Amino acid sequence: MLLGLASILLQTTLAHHLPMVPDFLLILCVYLGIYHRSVGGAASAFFLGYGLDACSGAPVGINAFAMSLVFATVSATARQLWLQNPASVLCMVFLGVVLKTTAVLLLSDLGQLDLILRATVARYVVWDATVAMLLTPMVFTLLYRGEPFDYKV
Amino acid sequence: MNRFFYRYRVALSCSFFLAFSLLLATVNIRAPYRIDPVGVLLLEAMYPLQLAASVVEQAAGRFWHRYIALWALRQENEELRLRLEALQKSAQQATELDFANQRLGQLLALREELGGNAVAARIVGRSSVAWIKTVVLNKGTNHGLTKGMAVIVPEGVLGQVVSVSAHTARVLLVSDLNSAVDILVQRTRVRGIATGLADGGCTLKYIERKEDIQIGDTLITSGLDGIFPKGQLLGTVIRVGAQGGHLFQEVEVKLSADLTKVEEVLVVAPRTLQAAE
Repeated sequence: MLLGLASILLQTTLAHHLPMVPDFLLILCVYLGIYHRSVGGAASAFFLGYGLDACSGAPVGINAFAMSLVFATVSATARQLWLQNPASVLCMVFLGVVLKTTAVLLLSDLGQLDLILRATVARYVVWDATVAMLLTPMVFTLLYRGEPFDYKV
Repeated sequence: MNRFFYRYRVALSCSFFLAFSLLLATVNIRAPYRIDPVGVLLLEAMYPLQLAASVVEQAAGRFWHRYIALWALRQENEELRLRLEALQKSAQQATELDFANQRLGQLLALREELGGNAVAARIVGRSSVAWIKTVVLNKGTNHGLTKGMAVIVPEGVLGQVVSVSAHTARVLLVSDLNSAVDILVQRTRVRGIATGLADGGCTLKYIERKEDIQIGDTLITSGLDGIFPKGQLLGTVIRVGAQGGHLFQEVEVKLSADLTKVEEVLVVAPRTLQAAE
């Protein structure tokens, strides 16, 4: 929870000075989907999105839905496939960014984009996903180190 | 029934949160100004944290601008200093080119005056011995230079070529002790021989005591030595004296050309001499 709050703060306050705001919340959501496939994990993903909506000024529910969708997708995939390896994690983060952006665009009534805007969004998604993928090993390592010992075993 | 819920608890909770968030989003998008009570509470709860983060952000920003950015300024300063040095160097080169252009323009005018057969050359070396006044030119026999040719500059005569190789020529300056130039006093047309004093000046020989010569008189080449063109400036008289029972006057001359500062010269061919005369 503290990590979620810190990530929300980081994304809504401090990270705006960076050329590209890294999506820490999405990485956290993917982590929950892989390592915490539980009701608590689903609730955490929802509240992460909800908190982001509340603090960023977006219509409440958009990011909550997107995060819940990412969590549901990742946890469903993790039930079927072994995702606890670096390559799979990076793929899931990439797909998570794409999924989240698509969901936000669809819900924000921005689904009808013209071609130029689609190209811009696509470029933005690729950049966002790349930055998120670059940060994923660090965030995952920190999160995994913070887990209780018995959980790791 | 309980086993069903337990077994599919994650999927069911995901579905619930998806449906609930979709509902929230739909409601909030349709009524954008609707106030979400939970969201307000969350925002209020987050406010102190956001405020603290904002303070940290501002402090970090100030720190960045005051200290970290100074490094960037230092680097920028260094770059600007280098650019300034490069520009100063360019300006100096431009000034040098301007001076060279002026000198070469004067040389060109002199060459045209002499009939256009003179060879322009650059001084590339000077004698390192104080009492030997010679210079080395960057032109030689390959460029048409021969021994005995006159070397002149727009300010006056400089000397004559005493030895020549394929690409260089050695010039005996008029200030050398062994130099001799047949001259005329421009005002009175009195003839004499100017020889070097090795200190940058000349003296006149064979000027009889009865001849009229005064300080400030201009001396020009007579052209009778077959080396220097007639009418070229040599210098001005700065001292006239007649000691004891000597037959000739002692006349000291200041050369019109500063031999230590000349860089480009004209080497005049004998044919040109004749044409000029």
